[in-house]
Amino acid sequence: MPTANRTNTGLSERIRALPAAIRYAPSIAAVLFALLLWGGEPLSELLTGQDPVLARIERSGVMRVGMDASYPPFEWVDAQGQFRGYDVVLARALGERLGVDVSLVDVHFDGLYDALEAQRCDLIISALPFDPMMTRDLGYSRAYFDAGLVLVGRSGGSDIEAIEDLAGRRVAVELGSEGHMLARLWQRDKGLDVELVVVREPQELVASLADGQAEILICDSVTARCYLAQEPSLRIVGPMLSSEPYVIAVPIEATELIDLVDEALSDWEASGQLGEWEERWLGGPRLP
Amino acid sequence: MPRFRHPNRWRLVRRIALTLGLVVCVAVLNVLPTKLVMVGPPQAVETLHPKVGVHTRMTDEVEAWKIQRTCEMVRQMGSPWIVEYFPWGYYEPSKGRYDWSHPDLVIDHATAQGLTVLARIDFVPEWARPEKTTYRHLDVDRFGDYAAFVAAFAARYAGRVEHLIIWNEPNLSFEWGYRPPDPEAYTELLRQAYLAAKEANPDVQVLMAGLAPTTAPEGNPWGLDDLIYLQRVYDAGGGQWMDGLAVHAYGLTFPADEPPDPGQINFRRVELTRQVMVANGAAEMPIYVTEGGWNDNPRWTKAVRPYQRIGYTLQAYELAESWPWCEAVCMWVMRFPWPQSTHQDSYAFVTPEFIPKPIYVEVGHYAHGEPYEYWTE
Repeated sequence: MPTANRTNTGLSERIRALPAAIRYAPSIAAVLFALLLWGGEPLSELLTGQDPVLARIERSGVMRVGMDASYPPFEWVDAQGQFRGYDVVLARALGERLGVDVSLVDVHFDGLYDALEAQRCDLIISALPFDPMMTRDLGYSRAYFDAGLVLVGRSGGSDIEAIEDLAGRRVAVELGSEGHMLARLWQRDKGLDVELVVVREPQELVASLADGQAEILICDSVTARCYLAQEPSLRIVGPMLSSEPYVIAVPIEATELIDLVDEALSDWEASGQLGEWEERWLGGPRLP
Repeated sequence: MPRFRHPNRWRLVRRIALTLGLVVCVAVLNVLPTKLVMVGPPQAVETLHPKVGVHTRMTDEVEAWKIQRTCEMVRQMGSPWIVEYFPWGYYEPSKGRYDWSHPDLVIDHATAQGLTVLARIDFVPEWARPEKTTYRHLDVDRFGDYAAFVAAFAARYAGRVEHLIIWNEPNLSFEWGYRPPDPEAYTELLRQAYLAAKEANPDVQVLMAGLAPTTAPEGNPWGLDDLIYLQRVYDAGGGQWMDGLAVHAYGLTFPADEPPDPGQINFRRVELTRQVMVANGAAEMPIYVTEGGWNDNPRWTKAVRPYQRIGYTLQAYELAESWPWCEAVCMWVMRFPWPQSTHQDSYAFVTPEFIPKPIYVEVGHYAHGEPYEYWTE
């Protein structure tokens, strides 16, 4: 027994004498190996610091884009069952840029965020407004479109240039629309004395300008683009009245993917590509 | 002779007094606003149409005066009913630890305004579900936790909230934690919740969840036809675990009187739901429309124009008058606390800034038998 003790003590001493890095290397290797086996690919991505969403896209060669295809001109399904619209083109261009195929996942709007959480899609492109309440759980891109409200008037037909100029003027709004509610808010909170010309149908808005019933109208920027495309004598007056920025959303851990998305949007903005898509799908020139 | 001989001591006392004064001021400023919102004396809803209702959304409303204003406006519209959402995960942040402050606020104000509250309960807390699952994911071994919360809710609000809605649209995959809809599992959830609620408050009415109107066939990954789902709940014995049925009745682009059709979603689909109930021996059981109505977004393909929405909504309330089995029609939605910036805003009756939309005005005129301001036949 004493001999054995002496032998063991000698081995321990020799091990202790080794540099720490060598001494613990087998244990560290064993732990890492076990973790890799246990955690699989996500853990390896964690260890390498790789964006797991982008890694999944690259691994599968498919980017799954969640959208509620019931919102033209941004996304809808045509009579042939094909996805169409601005966001569809945007999604496909993004896939092309990343070198992957695009799979469009049609989800009811209320379920889009949950679809991302449940990993049913990799990102959302769906006329999605920025939501400051969700920034803890999601990454948002820069805005690629603003669907806020605008004033539309006749070119050279009016001296109205800003909200303040609306006092005492006749302003056309569609009954119950956001523009109608904004004008009511001005009346209540700003004491702005505007005379509202309330019409039932959107097409009556432009008609009210033509027949002189109203001097200016309020509508959202998408509708305004349609008006401008159909009636060149119209113009957008002043700055936007409200902001409704559309963005692309990714899971919070998709840090590299969101950078790539932002980079793509910036490039397309600079090259005029976003403007071209807008003109194609929304009609009329891009708003300043 | 001065009381404090040493000038430094006098300075010290002044500083302490100043500090205390500041503390009192800050405390008063913090407390004052909440004290100013008094619940007030009990009010009664005046209406000629007692089935008129609306789904409120005060869940994420922080400010008490906005909760009060919402309830006041519901009463003033002539609606005796509201449906409100009470997320389990908000009020039981850890197992057995409850925070009732917000639901107390909502229910105090709602009942003071004379409103009858139908309480929808779902939203799974993080501690009751696996990681990386959604707020609608509840495993069978956690059904008891949900039932315990329902019982605690039923007991706390006994005498003030007498209708509980067990879950929401479980026939949609995303409302069932992105798993395939499972009517049999839901029936078990309903059973456990029913028994627990009744034990806590024997008078409470337990309503089966409103199902999402959909024609999705069996095997569809996103959802299951509500009529098929309901039949499967009955087949699983669910009929004995409910006192009534919550129904979601959306009209989409159709007028309220569009005839019902199993292959189509419209307002009168509720009559098909009723047929399933009758076929399963539940002819006496009441239906509560806890969501429904029309949307007037300018671009959504399932929306109508705002003036059409007014007409269809009034028509729907009128139609429900002829349904003796229908207790209430609660349209989605009274108001959101902040703009959603989506088509959801186009369901609201009132803007986040409390500007009444024409639909609010006209439902109020309908409820009070007054001439319409915007709507003409």
